[in-house]
Amino acid sequence: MTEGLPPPPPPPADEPPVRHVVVDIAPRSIVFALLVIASLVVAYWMLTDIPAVLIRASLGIFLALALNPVVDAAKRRIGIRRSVAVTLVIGGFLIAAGTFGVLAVPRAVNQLSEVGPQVSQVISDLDDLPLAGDAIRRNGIDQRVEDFLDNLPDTLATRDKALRGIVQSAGDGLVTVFWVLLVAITALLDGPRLANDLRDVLPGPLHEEINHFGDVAYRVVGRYAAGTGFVAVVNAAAVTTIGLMLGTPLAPLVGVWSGLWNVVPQIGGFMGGATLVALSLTAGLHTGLLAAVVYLVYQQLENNVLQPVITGRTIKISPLANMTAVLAGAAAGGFVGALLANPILAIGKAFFAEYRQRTAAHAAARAAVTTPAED
Amino acid sequence: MIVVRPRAILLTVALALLALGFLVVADAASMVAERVLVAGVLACLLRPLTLRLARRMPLGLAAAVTVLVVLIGFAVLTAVEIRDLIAETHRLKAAVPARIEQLRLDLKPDHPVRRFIEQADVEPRIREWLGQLPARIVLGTDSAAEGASRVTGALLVTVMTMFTITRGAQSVEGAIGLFRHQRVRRALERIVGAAYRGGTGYTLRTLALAVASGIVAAVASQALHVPAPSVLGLWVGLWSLIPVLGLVIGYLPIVGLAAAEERSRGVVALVVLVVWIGLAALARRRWIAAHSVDVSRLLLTLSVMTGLHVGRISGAVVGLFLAAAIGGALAEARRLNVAGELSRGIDHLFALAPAADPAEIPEPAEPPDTERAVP
Repeated sequence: MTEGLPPPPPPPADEPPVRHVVVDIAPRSIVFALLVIASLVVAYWMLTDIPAVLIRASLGIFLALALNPVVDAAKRRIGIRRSVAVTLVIGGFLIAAGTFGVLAVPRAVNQLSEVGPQVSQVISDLDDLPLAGDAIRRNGIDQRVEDFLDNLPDTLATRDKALRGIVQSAGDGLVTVFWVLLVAITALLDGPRLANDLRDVLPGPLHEEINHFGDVAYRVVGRYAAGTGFVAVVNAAAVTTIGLMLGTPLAPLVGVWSGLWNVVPQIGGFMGGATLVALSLTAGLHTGLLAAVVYLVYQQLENNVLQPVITGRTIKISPLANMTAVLAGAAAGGFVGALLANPILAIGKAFFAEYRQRTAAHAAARAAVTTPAED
Repeated sequence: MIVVRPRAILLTVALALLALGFLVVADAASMVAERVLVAGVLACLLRPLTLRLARRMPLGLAAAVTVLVVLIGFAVLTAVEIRDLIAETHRLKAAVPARIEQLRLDLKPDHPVRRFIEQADVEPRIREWLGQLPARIVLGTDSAAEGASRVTGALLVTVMTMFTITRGAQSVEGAIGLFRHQRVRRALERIVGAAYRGGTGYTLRTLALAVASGIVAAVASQALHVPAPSVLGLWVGLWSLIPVLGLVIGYLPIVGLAAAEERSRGVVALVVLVVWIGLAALARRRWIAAHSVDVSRLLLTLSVMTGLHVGRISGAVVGLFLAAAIGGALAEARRLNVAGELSRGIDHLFALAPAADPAEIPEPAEPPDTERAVP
């Protein structure tokens, strides 16, 4: 604001005129600054005091975005209301998960009891390896592993922290699954309505801009979530099939584990593959090596055919930026941070591209206006 | 040449210091802030009853009577629940260890689960945990010191609630009066009033529905000979505060326990659940949403989840109120935006030039009218 200021003294006649810019802060700006400070405090509180809530909300909304195309398709093709479509999709999702649990978990528990002896057998097989065999034999690694597995129940039983940790983790996991599912369901039911309500509160001239940027963000994140979810399901099915064909213990669970990790770019493939190979090793050294080879072949297929076709067009980020973002996200927010790093980066990139496009369009329009005037 | 006014420099430094101080105070006094928030919400919920009583007696006395009535009701409910809880806990303390002992004897001596039960002292630990259950449920902790601290906190909240009932309206009115422009003040009054009416109406009706859900569940449990019907009723009532899936999760123990007694009873419990879900959905639509505010289920879920995480049951009620208040405020803000009032108010708030319209000239101080706009 410049009102009420004394006029600047006139420059001496021999000096060029000086342009004065007076900076002042209006009282209204203080109100705005206070609102910004309050928002910062709330954001700080959310990040430090309730990270679990943020993680559940983020995962739930991500799941909703992944399922949204299925809900839309069900609504369009069957001609039903959105709430019915959401019930059908979530019901189908839960039935599939329940069927998997009923079929796979009892078998997995039975197989789990066989893993211990199988591990000892594998370690014994390792004694025959050409280079490392001697070292393994000399250091009695096979015996140590066997002792560790034998003592595992006692270790868990006598260490309160370990026991409580397992029980607490299982409980926390169930609570997290419940909230993630609930957020996903309510986001599918009411997400668009809430977004519209929030938009309508803002001044009318901004609505078009908000709609546009909302569409850009939804296009990037929605397609990424849906594509990633689809590839994860394919990955889980592939790993389960590989495991079942090779006789890997806990094959269906390894499939689910690999599918879950697959949603994390760069690191996810390794995490799923390493688990498959490690558990396949318990069935024999050759089985482990074969699992590694088959998984590598599948991974090439996924990276070079599936990913580019399904998600490649939505997120165009260089592998280096992708990797850096994932590592930074993982350091800041663990699994969820790694999962969300890519879409956040992609939204930033899409907004920047939009800004550049508009700047170029404005420059072209200005040039078009000034050129005839100069002519 | 840029000339920065000394006042601007001072204001910038003051704002930076204010932000820093605000962060430090907010971090140190988060517990106080939570209590003030709980007291504010309780005051909003109790104010309708207080105002009704205030027709026959002074406002301060009416507030004291209201708080006393609520405290007595809470004490009676707690006494009934504790009696039932302790009786059931005694039953569980006998039944669960006996079942664990039976399981131990059924297993072979070298079975890992048997070794785990023996070495981890599972039986005495579970007996001890069950003994702490009533205190954990009532006070939220089994530690005497922490329990005393919580009781002190509850007393503080009670006192603050009474103050807020009697003085809160003037404070809000005074805060709104700080705004110079009549349009801004009018818009704020309408938005805050809608938030108060929406939050209070929605929360009171939802709590009434939760009480009805609890009573139905308790009666059903009693009729189906399920143990601890009053505790299960309370459990269902609390779960019914969570949208969409709350009732389903709340009824799981009733269905499970009834089915364990006899399969047909489990089916009856399931039928009761389905019928009550339908009735509750109807009541939410026709009685709650139609007479207060139609809150987005996503907003409700996020708010209740955050409340539960921060402050357990009282936090969930605060979350419920805040979601409804935000819903009411959003609805009113949308109405104002359609009428153009809000946009004009925002324009005036952030306008660079002083208002020229005579309607915008600050009005002389109005006498406070506490009943007109806000609690």
